[in-house]
This record gives sequence, structure tokens and C-alpha cells, in this order.
Amino acid sequence: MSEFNFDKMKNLEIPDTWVDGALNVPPKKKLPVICVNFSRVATAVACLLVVCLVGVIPFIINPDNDILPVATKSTDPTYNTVTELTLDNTDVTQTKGEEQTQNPSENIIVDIQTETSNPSTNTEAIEPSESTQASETIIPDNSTTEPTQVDTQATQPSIPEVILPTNDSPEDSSGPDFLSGDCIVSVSPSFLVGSGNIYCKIKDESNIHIGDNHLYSQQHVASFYSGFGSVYYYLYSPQKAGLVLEPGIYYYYFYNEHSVPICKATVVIN
Amino acid sequence: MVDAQFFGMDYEQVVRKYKKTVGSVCVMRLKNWSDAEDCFQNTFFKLYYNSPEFESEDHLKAWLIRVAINECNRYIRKNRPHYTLDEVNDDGVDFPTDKCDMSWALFRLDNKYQEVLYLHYCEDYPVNEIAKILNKSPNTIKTLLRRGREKLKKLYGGETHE
Repeated sequence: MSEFNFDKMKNLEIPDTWVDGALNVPPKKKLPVICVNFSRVATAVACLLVVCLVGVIPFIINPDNDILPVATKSTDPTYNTVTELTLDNTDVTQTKGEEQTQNPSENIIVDIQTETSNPSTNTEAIEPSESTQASETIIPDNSTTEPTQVDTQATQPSIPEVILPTNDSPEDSSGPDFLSGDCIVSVSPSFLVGSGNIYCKIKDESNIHIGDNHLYSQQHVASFYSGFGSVYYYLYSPQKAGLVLEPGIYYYYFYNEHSVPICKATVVIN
Repeated sequence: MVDAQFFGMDYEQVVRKYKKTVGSVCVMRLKNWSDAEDCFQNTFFKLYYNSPEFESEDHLKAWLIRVAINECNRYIRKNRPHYTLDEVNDDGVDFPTDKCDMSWALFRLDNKYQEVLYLHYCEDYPVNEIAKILNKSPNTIKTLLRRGREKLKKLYGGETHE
């Protein structure tokens, strides 16, 4: 094998001072102790925990996270929306010589957008109050009674009047062409706002709404019939609106486009 | 006098027995007596502080060589000495350029060749042992040996001695 001569390297003389220095082992340097103020660390950790808890506790208490204020709702849970229809406590019907009393201050809250309202609740609204002197008039189909206008006190709002048309046959040309269930009401100009539409909603004896749930649809629009001076007459015809009413007692609620109640009428269909 | 024991030898005996080995490695690496002295002493200090357990005496020697190399490398990184041949001649180890002796050529080689050639030719370590000491594969050691010899030949002039 080829060899290199490294004799001098092998016999390198190491000075004795090196050996003496290696034998005098210095004491091992101790690592500096890092002093940690545990009280400060504990305080910082505690503050951090408190902040975290303060931020989390509201979510723990209220899991629904319903922070926003709850909108005002009707007391009746069946109402999806609230539409307060104030009605007079009087049952405005055709009465001759009777003074229609009206107490605008008495408001009856009726939900006119649902068909599942509590009949017992609305019974008070539907049925005429005993405090009034108004009486319910049942209109027979063959009645030939001509509609008469009831004198009303000209108060704001004025006492509405209901004119119940006859159900004469179409051949009878002496009077207007009324169909079964038609109803005419007198409306004060104060109820006419905006476009001036008058609407009508029908409920049966079970307080079940009949017709379109959208109370401002075309189906509920009452057509203008005639006008005399400051009084306007509006006609609502269920049959023309596409409603088929079985024989029975029905309640007509008239209101304007701002849901302000105008009057209520009771119609009996035989 | 220290109380550490290494295979029946105390610390002083170990220092005196392996002073040439550790000193040669340090001198060869650093090419400077004063710097080599620091690394020499630090190597034995670590032996004293750590007192590792060795499987055999050869294991102890290999450990000392490895630590000496690491100490030299750390010293070089820390101080980054710039050596020239003139500096080596003035303050370093002085090896006369002997035709037969190639010790001076070791100082002109790269560290990776120095280690391998020194351990192989000066300490008579086989390739496998050198691989364990330097933590390299035997094939790498063989390659370094071959290349180191070639460089020595270039430095020396191409003649080898058997």
C-alpha cells in the first residue's frame, strides 16, 4: 500500500503547559437563573381569563343569541303579522229612525289576516255590543225593502251606513242589478285616502275568513256605487269577486287602504 | 486532582495518554499553536464535565477525536481566522519540507481530507472506524481518501513512498 510519511505529525510534541492547563479544570459555569415574577405572570393570566369569560358569558346565558330587541308582536301567537283593525263596537246595520251611536274610543283589535284566529276572542268584536242600541238586521233574499239611508251624526269619522241591496232577479229593471250577498255602505270622505279604495273582508259565523288572505287584493276591493254630496256609497259584491257564499250568516268588514275600519255589516244569505 | 474514572484511568492519565492525538487534530485544523491550545483544553474539559459512558477505550479515543474536531470547527466559525502560508510559518506549526515527510502537506489540504488522511495514516484507523468517528459512510471515506492522496501527490510532486 502506498504510504505517506507523516512521522512528524505522529510525533508531534505537545507542550506540557497544555497538559497542565487541561488538568486544571475550572468550575463549571452555572447557567444564570431567570427570575420570573410569578405574581405578575399570574395576574396577567387572570386578567386574560376574565376578559375571555366576559366575552363568552353572554353567549352561554343566551344560547339563542337573541341580542336584538324582539319586535312587538301580537298577543295571539297565531298572528304572523300584526294588523290592528279597529272597529266600532256597534254593529252598523239598517235601522230606521235609530240613532247610531258610535264611540270611536272603543277599539276592538281584530286580526284580519289570519283564518285561525280565536273565535272566542273575535266574538266580542263581531257581535254587537250591548251598549249600543244598534240591532242586527237580517236581510232575506226576497226582501223588497229599499235601502234607506240612516241619519248619522256627522262626527269624524262619520257614522257609516250600510245599505243592503235586494236580491231581485236580473229581469227586474226597476232597481240596480244586485247579486246575492251584495252590500252597500256609505263612506265618509275622511276614510278615503290615497287611491280612495275601499275594501271588504267577509267572515262566516265561525269567524273564518273567506276569500284571498291578501286583504288588499282585487278580490276585496269594493266598487264605488254612487255619491251624494259628502257621502259616498261603495258596493261589495262577493259573487263578482269570485266568492261563493253558502246560505248562512256572514259579517262584512269594510276598511280603507290604511286598514282603518269603516264599518261592519251582517248579511244573511238564505 | 480529579476523581473521574475512565476504564481504570483517572482524568490525568487520560489527558496524558491522548494528548498527542487531540493536540495533532487541533494543530492540523487550526494551524496555530495558541488557538490549538484552547481547543485542546476545551476538549478535555468536556470529558470531565460530561463524563460520558464509553463502551471501550477505543470508543473513548474516538470520542475525544470527534470532540476535538467539533471544538476546532466551533472555534473557526467564531473567530474565522484567515491563514496564509506565511502566517503558518511564522506563528504556526513549522514542518520542514522534507521529501519523505508529508506532514507539512496536510496543512495545505482541506479539512475534510485532513481528517481522513490523518486518521488513516497517523492514527491507523481503518475506513469503517473513520466512518464512525466522522459520522460518514465508508464509501464517502474511501472517496475522500482517494482524493486526498491525489492532492497530496500534486503537492508533493507525484511520488509516493511505500
